[in-house]
Amino acid sequence: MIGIIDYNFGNVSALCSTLNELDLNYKIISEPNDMENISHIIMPGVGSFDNVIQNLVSSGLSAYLCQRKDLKVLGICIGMHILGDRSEEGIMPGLGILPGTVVKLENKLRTPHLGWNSVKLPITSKLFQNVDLDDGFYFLHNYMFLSENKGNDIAFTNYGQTIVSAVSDGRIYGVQFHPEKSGVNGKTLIKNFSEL
Amino acid sequence: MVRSRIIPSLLLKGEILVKTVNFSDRTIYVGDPINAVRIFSELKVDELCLFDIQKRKQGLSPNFSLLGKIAKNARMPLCYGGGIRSASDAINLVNLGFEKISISYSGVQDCSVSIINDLIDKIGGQSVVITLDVVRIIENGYTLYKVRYNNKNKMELYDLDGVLLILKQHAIAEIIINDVDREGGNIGIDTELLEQALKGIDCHLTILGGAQSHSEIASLAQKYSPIGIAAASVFTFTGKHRAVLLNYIK
Amino acid sequence: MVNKQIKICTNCVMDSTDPNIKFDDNGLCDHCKNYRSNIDPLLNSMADSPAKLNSLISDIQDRGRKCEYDCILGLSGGLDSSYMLHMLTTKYKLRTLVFHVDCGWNTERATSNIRKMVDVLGINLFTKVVDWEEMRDLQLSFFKSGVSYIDTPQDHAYTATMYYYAKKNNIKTIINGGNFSTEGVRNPLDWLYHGSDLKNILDIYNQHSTRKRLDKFPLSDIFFHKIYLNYFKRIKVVKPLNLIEYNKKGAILELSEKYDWMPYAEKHYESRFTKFFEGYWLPTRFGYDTRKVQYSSLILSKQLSRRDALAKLSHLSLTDTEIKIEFQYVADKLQIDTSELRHYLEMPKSIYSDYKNRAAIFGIGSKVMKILGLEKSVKR
Repeated sequence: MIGIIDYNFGNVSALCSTLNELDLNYKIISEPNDMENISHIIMPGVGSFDNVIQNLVSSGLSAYLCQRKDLKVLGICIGMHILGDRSEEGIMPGLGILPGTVVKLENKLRTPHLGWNSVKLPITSKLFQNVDLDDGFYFLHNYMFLSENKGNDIAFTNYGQTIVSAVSDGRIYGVQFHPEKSGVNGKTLIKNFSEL
Repeated sequence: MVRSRIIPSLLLKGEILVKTVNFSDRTIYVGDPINAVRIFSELKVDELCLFDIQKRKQGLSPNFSLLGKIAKNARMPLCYGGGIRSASDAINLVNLGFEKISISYSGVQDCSVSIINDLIDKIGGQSVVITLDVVRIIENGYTLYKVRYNNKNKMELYDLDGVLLILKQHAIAEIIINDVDREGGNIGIDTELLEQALKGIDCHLTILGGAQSHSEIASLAQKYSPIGIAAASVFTFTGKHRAVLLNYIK
Repeated sequence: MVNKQIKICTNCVMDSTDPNIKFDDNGLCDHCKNYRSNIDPLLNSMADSPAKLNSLISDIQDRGRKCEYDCILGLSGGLDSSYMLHMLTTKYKLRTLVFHVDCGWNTERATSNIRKMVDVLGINLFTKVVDWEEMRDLQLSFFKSGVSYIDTPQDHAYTATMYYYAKKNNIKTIINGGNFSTEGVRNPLDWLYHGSDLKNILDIYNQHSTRKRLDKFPLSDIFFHKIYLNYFKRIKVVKPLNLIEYNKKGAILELSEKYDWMPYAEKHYESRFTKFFEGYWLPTRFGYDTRKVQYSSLILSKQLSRRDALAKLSHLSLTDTEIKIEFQYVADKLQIDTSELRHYLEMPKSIYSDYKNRAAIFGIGSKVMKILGLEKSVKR
């Protein structure tokens, strides 16, 4: 079953609707006790780094998620950022389960990176199967994830600079865009994640 | 590179959608917002804006219950404006499924400019949008753009460039220019206004008001890419009798 | 689904869930008998239809000569009305007032189909957007009443709006997309009672409404309209689709080629509510499946085999996922929670006569129409 982490900063409702349409069973997770029978978790996110981390720490989920090495994880936007070690956006440490730091976008173009953008994959990825890469996804962010291990970078997007639009170590996935608001492509990606 | 965003704009009055002309009290009945947003989602629109035209005037908070039901059916990003007075309003809306929260310049003036940083702090600058109601005055033969503030039935006008300069100091995501004079008029988007605004800001711009046709929108979207072109009448009505029939650009 | 011993007609797929169905010794039902006696002869005498059609068109044009419009057509986005619009505009070249009624349940497909047609044909469409708060209140009243015909508010709004535009614009001919080809068999009254019985609608509303205010909702008194408009204002209702070779597959192909028109999963699914009502609610709560009526019509007009029909009927037309999504959607729109909607699904059933009604008068009227040969298919 899929668990959607509810840390009061996320588009839980849109994710729930998408999972309903895909006929996938899910549960809202507020604390470690909710985690029974969960194989995949989604970390949603619109919000700021410190607020989200604080919420996870208080609920006990922060420590819990760091221990569970069997779960498939999908972090979305801020949910992706908190997977790393730290962020320029805040002062709290990240979960550290996917080594990397979060840095501010360069000021080359209008900020934030806002709108629909295409995605390029250096090699194929199951997460992006059947996705129209040119159509891409919806992005809305000021900060981006820099992996420590460049081998974890699985998708890129161009916005005045190369932005890492998805990362993965094979178990943990992070996407910079918002699949829950990216129409058909987003729904396909979430379906692919559920089948990993 | 990001593409331009073409954005249907809907007005909420109470629990139903309406369309106004020049912000007047005369409204055309458009119907149920839940079904309308679902239709636009199925039409695969880039984004959608929803503005509540009464909440600020009435001093009321957003109708969170209705907005939650509306947002559930949207597979595209949503922006909501109307009656936002605090960061907790904004947090509620984000949790309900709105990616961007708009506060009007009038709303900013009501609360004080510190609300902008408050919102940025709590929901992140990427989700904060300021909407400016822009009108024109003629001074010494020149057309000047002014941002309108309805201050308890007294109208105050501020120089557009001045307002944009103030807003530049805040790391917001987007400014929506609401062309009051052209609203509902179908006489074409004012590209001079658009260009002047683009020069004055570092964040993203969306222009709303006056769009005539799908082809005009497509052409401006391409010329000024990346930009947001929002429209209400064009995506709501069809034909000379202005029959309500929601539609979108192909 | 209701699971008693159900007897199915040996020719079509109507069965004993129609409480008034009668079978002969060969297991042939009275719907089939009526079709064979009254409708087949008409469809078989299509040879002189072109002449009849030309005559009908001329007549419509004559009657409309002094008016801005020759005729009026309601466009729901469904196949019959869409095809009718296509014929009226491109073949018969009649000046048609085209209107659409938005009851708050349009599907994107219906909206897009309408838009594609009006764009290509250059039609100046009228839309009546029904007051949603009144519509919701009326629909919720119908749910609370326990009756089977909870789609009456939409149907009634359509008819009332048509009469409104016809009167306002002094239009002499109402075009009805009804046809024997796909509607030779009619829904039993026990399933879907007359949507035009205003007395019944108002009694249901008065007993169950919370707002008790139906000021803007389009209402039409059937007596006024059928009698006054027909006999005093001389407004005629015509069904041109009965005078042409009309078949479902051919019509869909023609519309998709010309307008990129997209078909629906089932008849009437241009409305999200009707899809929920006919696809889930009615079969689940009452055991009435309107597809049996539609498929039987197609079987009788040789557009569908009985075997294919039975295969389709072996399961609901909606998947479990669709049902879950639409159930929540209907609850959200009605501003109730799903447990309340479930209560209406499971509560004791009511019938039309539990409320004030004009059924007796309708019954007489229907018999008279049949005797006069004005109505061929049986609505009983």
